Amino acid sequence: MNAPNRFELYVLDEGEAPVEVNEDTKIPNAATIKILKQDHTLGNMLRAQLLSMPEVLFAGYKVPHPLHPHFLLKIQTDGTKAPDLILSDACNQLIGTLSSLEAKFKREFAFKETDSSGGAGVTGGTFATSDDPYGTGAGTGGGASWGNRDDYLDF
Amino acid sequence: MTSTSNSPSLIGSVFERKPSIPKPPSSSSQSRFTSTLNSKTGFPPVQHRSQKSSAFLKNIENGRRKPELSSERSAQVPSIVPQSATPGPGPSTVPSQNQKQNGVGSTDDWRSHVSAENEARVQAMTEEERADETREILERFGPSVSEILRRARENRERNKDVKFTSLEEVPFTSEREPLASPIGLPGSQLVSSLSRSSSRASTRPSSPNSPSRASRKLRFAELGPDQVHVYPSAPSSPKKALLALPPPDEDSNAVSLGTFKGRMKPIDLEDVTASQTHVEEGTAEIQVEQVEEGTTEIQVEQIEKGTAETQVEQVEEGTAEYIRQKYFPSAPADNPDLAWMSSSLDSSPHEQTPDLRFDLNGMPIPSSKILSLPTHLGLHHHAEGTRAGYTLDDIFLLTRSTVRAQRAAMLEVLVGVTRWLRTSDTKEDVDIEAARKSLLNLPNPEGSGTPPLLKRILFAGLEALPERGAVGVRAMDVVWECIVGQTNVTEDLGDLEFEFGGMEEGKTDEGGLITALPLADVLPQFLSLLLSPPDSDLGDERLSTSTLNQPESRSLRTTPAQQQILSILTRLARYSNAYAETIVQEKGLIEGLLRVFIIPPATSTYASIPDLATIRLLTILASASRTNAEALCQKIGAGDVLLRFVVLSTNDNVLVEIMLFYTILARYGMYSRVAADAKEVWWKIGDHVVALSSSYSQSNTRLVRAYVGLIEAWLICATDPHRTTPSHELLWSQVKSWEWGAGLASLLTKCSRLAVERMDTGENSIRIDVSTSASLWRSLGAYLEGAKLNGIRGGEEERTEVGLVLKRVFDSGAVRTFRNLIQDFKTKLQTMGMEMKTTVAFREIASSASILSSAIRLWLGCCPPSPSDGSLPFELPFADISDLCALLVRHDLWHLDLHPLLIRPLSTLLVLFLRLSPHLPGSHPDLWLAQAFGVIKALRRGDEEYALQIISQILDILTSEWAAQRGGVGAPDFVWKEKGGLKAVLIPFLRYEINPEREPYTYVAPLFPSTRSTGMCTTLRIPSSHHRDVTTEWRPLGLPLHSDWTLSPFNHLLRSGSDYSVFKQSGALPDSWDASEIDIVRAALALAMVEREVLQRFAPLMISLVGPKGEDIVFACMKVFMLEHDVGNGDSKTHYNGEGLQEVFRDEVVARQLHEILEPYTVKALFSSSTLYVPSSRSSSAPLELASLPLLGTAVPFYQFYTDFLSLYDSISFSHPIFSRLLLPPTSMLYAADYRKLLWNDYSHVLRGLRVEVDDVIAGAGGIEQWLYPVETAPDVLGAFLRALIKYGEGLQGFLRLLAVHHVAANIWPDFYVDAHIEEIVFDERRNKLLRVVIEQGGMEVVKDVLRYRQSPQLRRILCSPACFQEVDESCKRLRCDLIANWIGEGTLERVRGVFER
Repeated sequence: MNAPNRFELYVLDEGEAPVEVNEDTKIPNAATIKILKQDHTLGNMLRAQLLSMPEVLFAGYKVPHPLHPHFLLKIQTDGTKAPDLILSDACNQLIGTLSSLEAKFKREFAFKETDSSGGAGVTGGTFATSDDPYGTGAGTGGGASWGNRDDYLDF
Repeated sequence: MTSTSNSPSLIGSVFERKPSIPKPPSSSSQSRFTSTLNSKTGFPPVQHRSQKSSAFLKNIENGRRKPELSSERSAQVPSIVPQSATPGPGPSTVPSQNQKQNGVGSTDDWRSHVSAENEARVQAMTEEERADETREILERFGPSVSEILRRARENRERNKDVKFTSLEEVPFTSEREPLASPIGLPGSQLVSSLSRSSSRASTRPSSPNSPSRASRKLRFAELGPDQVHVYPSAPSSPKKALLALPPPDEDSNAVSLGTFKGRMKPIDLEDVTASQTHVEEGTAEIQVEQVEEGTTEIQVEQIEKGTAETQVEQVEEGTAEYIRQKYFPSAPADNPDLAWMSSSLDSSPHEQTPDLRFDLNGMPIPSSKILSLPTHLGLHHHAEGTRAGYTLDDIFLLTRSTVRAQRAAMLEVLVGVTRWLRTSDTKEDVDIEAARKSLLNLPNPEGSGTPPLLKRILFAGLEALPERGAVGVRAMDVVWECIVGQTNVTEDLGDLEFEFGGMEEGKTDEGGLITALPLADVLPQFLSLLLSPPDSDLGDERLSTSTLNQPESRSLRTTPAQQQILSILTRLARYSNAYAETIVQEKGLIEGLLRVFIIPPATSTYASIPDLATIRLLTILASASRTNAEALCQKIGAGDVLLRFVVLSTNDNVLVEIMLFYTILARYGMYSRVAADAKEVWWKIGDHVVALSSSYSQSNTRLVRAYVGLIEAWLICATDPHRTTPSHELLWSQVKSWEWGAGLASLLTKCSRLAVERMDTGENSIRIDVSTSASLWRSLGAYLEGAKLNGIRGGEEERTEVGLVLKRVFDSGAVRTFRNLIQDFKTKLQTMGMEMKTTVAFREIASSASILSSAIRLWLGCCPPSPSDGSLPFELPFADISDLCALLVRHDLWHLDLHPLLIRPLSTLLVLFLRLSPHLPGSHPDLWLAQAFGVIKALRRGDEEYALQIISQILDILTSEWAAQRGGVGAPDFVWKEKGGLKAVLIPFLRYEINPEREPYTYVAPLFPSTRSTGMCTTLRIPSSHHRDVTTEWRPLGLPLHSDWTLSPFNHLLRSGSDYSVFKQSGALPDSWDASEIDIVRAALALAMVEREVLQRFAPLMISLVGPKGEDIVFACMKVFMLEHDVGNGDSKTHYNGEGLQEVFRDEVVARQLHEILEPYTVKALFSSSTLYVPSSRSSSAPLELASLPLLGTAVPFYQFYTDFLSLYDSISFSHPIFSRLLLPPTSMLYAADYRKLLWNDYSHVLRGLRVEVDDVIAGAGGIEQWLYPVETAPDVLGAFLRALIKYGEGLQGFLRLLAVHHVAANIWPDFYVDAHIEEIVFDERRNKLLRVVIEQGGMEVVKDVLRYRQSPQLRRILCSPACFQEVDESCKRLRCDLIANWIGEGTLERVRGVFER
């Protein structure tokens, strides 16, 4: 069988850098960042986080080949911040979001353990509001009411 | 002894045997065994193991020594009587069995008795008497009588055996049981047991003395005969088995036909019985049956005698009932099998299906007459009730009748039916006409059993084809009518067909009859029918009445059926090249044709005329393919079958046909040796032609043209002898010495003098005259071209020679004739737009074009190879020709479905004009380029050679110097120079586009054959035009070129994995070719830019017709963006610097080129060209989807391409400006809502980065109106618009913001509608909701924009940002305020009133 070893999908080789940043010479404030041993999970998340940031003009990623465990992230900013810095900002924000999500999740579980009767409904509601694909709910402020879609989508 | 051996013990076998033990005498091996045992040596004899008597044998012997046992068993034999006692239908019952056995015995007795008597008599005779008798016998019967008698005796002996064995089987066959029932199955009935064979064996003369056959039969086991049972397996005599029908079951509802009153029944009449038994006793058994018949007759007579007197007359005499009562009193009264006898009057006219019924001529009988036609017309034999005529099912059934006359008659009806189906007669009954249509259009979906009617008819004919006599003849009629048909005659172009090279008539196959023909089976049948036609013995009656051919051209040797075969073959050969090849490859068919139609019988003394149609068929076959021509050369050339007619025949028609055939062969470069072999003959014919040309007549001109055409073809062969097969058959030196050039020139002088004389008689005859001269011009042109290559000093001498003649011929009068011709041509072209289908006019156009191109060819031939002092060889109306060609290129006949053969002269004229153009005064390379771009689009299949020439000439001109002089036409200098310039980079792609690899490989010869085509072409015929349908998969389709052919290399890059890509063709790319993807894209874009620039400058009228369309350009640019992988083996790998492959669109040059090539389609350019907003008629179809069809095929929708395009943009674009602009065209309202949904909903996150100003939008002719109207109504797209507005607010800019605001506002405010149904749509739940969401959730700017946005169709122009947000007139303001107050409330109105106030 020619299938590559499963661990090759997530274990870095000897001396391999997990992240390569290439400044684009022709386009201002643009960079292509190659992230190794990662796939759509991280790529899509990062792209969404970047797109939600006002400094970012363009953010996109692609997986050049499904059998090669890396993706290319392309970032262009408006010049106030360098692409690599904005990426690290995005990562920090993502980590924050995820840890708060984790905390919320654990808290809800704690509630559920103490109060087994009403816990299920509360958990469901929490997840429904945080289910925003590109994380824009917090930025615009109108997101909360936006979630209530049936006021005009009902036609 | 016998008691001990009774038990089958081993000990028994140890007993020593005594020699006195009786031995079985029948077996030879055993007799040998006994003889060894009897040897006198005293020692036990040496015995081989195999010869020792086995336990088995001993058992048998033991069994033999138990006679009491075997007799006891044989007594238990199951009797056969009970089994066959049940009355069966066959004649084999117990009495018969017994009688037969008795008969056997009695026969022997009788014979022995007679022979004994004879012997006694012979004994009593004296010697003299005996000698006398012998002499008498010998005298009476001849000397061989003894031999005969001996044989008779042998026969008798043998017959005895046969008879008896066959008779033995009788009981088996009378068995009712199913055959082969396995032994032991319950219910399986015993047929017979072998024990019976003991009794039978005694009657066997072959082994009368065999001790016991039963014992031998039971060799393999110790079984009594009653233990062996024979069950019916397979009847040993199949004949009898067929007769043996089981009797009907008791409870089945079978109807008796009466009882057999033969011998099987006990016979009451004693006198008959007596005679019968008497006869039976004396005869052999075979005769018994005959006697039976005899007795039944007697019996019937007896019955008749007995009953006739006593019968009371009750019913009318002669009726069926009368007969029944009189003769068959035991038969039931109402036997349904006899229903046909009852008169039709009393049968009630039950409801019948309204089937179409045909008379004997194959014409449908109108429903009004069906019931009233008299019966003597013969139409009532299969009528239901009183209806006359035959239904189709009747006819098909009866075509398989065993009565030959019936079969023949019905086949003739089918001929009529076919003819009727094919002719549409408006005068006919409406119902019948409708029925005809429905029959013709009888759908043939896969799976439904019945094939279309015409196919059924065809196959009914084919089925009867091998029959002899009338059936075969009629079957041939049916097949002929189906395949060829009198009403199905295709348009005949005459000799013109071969002048233009011919065409496969693929699409004329009506109802798929020809494709349905199983050629592999039918052709051998045709051959055998050809050699022995079914009507060969019908006499001269049919021959004289046949109307198949012209009476004078038919030779009397052939029959109509042969002629029909010939015309069927001709039709097949015309149908397609593949069929033509099959015909030629059919073994013996061509030879058969030659023998039947062409080679005169050896007995005929006079020079007979070969069949013209056959030579025509040969010509068609040869024109179909090179392999055919080769095969025909071998078959005909060896014996020079045709040449003898050239020599001997005085018939001009024969000569013409044969010369046409030779012309076709010479176009493949074959058989040109006949020109040298028979040069005296051709001289003679040349003289003949010259003599004829002085007097005008239709046939004379035909001969002249054929001759001149043949000379032209041979001249081309001689020009380059390497190209002929075999090479060097005809040399230029020979041509020179035969003075063909001078001959042609003198012929031309004569012809044109004649033409001048006849100038005033009428226009049409002039055209014919001129076209005769035109073929002369072509020949002379070929001569001069050849001289240019082969003559001394480029053929200068020849040129001056011919030039002198031409100067005289092409005087001012000739120029005037040309002018008239061109004028006529132009008017015809202009009127042709309206009534396109008049082929007569189109034929005239074609012949005019052919005349003009011949003149141009001659003119070009007169031009010296090197540009000279500018003196023109002779005068032609150059300006008129130029105008005409410009008109022709622009004409829309290229897009119409016209006869492809007749288009060929037009495209050839354009090509020749293109060759002429540089020689004209005032020519310019750029002008020539413009013309070339125009002409190359007009070329069709068969013009590949021209197209390749033109394309390489175009690319030759486009050098870096050329570009530098014109400011670099959209590409920097290095693009024109690098990698060998445009030509080297692009020529493999374009060459392949023009002439893609086809399966099978075809090279259609151009209209004017060249030396190249002589050596290369595989066929002379162009395919019929119906092949150009949309494919499911991308592949280059060849000529005619697609309008974006300059950008076609992109397709090869994108589809580099496809089998049809040029990258997959071995040898298509030269070894030195090393262009990279970027090089190719640059070069192709440069070429497209050149085309546009040149056309714009020199032929602005043509650009919309010839150049690529807007959507083609847009789609091609999309393709450039989709190119992300390196395909060429160029240097873009070096750009790899860790971030993946360099995208093509990042290249600066490419980006600039893309920008420039898209420039004319932007809104800015549209506004600058026409400032008025004109509501264009909106085409409902999506132009890009159509433009993408050649690349994507029908298998991949454009939507999928767009999805990939968008996701590519999403991942790698960095918001590339041109990339962004290209995203928008498919989201206009011309396209389905899915495209907008994809961009605005699924990929809404890219909207923020998508910055496209209104001016930069790539719009079609309709401008941005295409995006704004009709107003979007799809709810999910509308929701996406609204969401984008609210979510991104100010982030959404430019054109996108305009779009979103427009559609949202238009769905809120009712004043966007011009139409008067405002009151209907004023209040709407959706408007209310939309407005509420905008006001409550939108940001300040969004609310302001939506509330103030206006766009009024009355303004005749789309208002863009900011104009559309500025002024709101009073009435509109009031309306909107009211609506807000009504829908949401006064409070909200107060909040937003400021927006309107400003």
